[in-house]
Amino acid sequence: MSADVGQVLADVLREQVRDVPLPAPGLVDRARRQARARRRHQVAAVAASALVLVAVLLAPSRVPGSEHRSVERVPAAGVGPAVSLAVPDSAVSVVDVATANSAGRPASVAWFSWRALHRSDGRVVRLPDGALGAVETPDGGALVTGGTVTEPTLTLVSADGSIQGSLGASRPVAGRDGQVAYVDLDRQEVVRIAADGWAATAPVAAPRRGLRLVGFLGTSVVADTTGGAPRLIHRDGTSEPLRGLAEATASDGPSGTVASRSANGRCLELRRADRPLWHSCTNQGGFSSIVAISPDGHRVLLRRDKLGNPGASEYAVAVAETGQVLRLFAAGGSTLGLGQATFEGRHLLVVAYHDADSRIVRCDEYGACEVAAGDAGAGPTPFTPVWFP
Amino acid sequence: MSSDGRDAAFERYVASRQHALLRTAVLLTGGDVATAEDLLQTALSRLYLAWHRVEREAALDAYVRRIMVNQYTSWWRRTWRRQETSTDPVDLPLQRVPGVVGIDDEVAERAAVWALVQLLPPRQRATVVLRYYEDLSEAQTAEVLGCSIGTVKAASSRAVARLRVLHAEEVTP
Repeated sequence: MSADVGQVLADVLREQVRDVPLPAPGLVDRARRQARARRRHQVAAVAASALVLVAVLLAPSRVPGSEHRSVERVPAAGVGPAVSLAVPDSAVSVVDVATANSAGRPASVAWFSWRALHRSDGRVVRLPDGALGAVETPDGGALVTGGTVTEPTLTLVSADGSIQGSLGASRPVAGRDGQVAYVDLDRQEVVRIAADGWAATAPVAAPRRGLRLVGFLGTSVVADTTGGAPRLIHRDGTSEPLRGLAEATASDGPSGTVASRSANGRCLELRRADRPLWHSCTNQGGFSSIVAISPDGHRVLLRRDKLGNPGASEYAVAVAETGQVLRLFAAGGSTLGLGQATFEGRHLLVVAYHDADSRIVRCDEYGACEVAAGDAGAGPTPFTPVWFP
Repeated sequence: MSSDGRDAAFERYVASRQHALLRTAVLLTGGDVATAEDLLQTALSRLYLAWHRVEREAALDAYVRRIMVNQYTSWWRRTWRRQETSTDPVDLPLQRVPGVVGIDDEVAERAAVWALVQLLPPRQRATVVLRYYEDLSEAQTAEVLGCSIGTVKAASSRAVARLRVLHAEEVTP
């Protein structure tokens, strides 16, 4: 190497990018949309600055002093920098099926509707009566939630719709890599089914009904407990508390990201690999929780109740690393509000849009939306709720 | 140039250069393809806004490279401040790469070289990428980085010196 370090460097660098794929399709459109959004933001910022200047010149005595400024909670050690989660005025998009492009491809994430689970691979699994929800299993079937609140059940349904068995169990969670977990309430075990179909069980000491599974971190399961810190349950049955968190709301295994909120619901926090990325207690956007993390871990989805309509939701996409809100999606048209939403890809989210019927709308983080095809008419009309497991 | 003309020219440029620019972005980010895509998209969005100001077509690549370097440095600084990580841009320690011991020497050496490049702070890494991957001259590199030729020379020689030390460590039992 000493003979020609420059040549070695050049060879190594070329080798590293030899297999880099082409950028995702649509780069030109995304760049243009980002440019236009940036320009709008700049115009809005200039206008806002001008208004502030006029206000200062006309009424200097009304400029708030430091005693009037909103005070963000001083972060304790280990909670990460404070962010505002403010929604820029120029970053609000209205989701309206009347104006959205109606020729989108089918959703590529699993979704549940009346007695059917639409798997991410495109297959549809018919579900038994009383199904309240379902997640897909690695073998092509589904784990179906049923029963009652006090006596929940889980039914294993094979790919052809036949029932394989039933047990008392909590609502299951599914990871993007195909693994599934649930709490077997009879055996007091957390059962994790890996993507290759092999199952592993881990006994849990926590009160069996006090566990609510949130997601995965690697092969460990993130679980909320009633009255205690969330726990990380490992495959060998040991578990450890996720210290400093009150309630976990989402987790992403590959990136090691966990979202949480405080006990009073005011503060939201994001951590990665046990390192706090940010927290927000001012929470200027009024978000109630971080509900999803994008497949690559670089985006998060925040949810809030629609003003004046607590039953309906609005969603915002934010940068995971900084907490910067990129776009807020609000309901428009004839819908009362948006239903559930999740990420379909890094720049895409899918959201349930309920009006006379239910549809799945796909939006990118720059505000362009389209109706995902093949998502209507799964159940009795006129109203068929859609859920993302 | 009309708006339609600008759009068409912009599309042609992106279509012809996107793969090469993404590769550069991947190297600038130390191998993070997802961040590199974000970086490239951001750079192209700024190029789109500044299209009428970039007079020569030959200057487009240099313009995009400069935005990518500056933008990534900015992102990195923001993350660095938040993570409160202590990383001296000059005296980064050399590190053995886990898992490469016992592999074929040449493969191990290349992995170690890449690991070293990944350890460099963004602007120093950018210097290496522009000089040795893009094969730009010191003057061209300085223009992209917005610094003096002397700064480019110093950064290049520091990186090369580290590689020599690394090489010496590897051959010394």
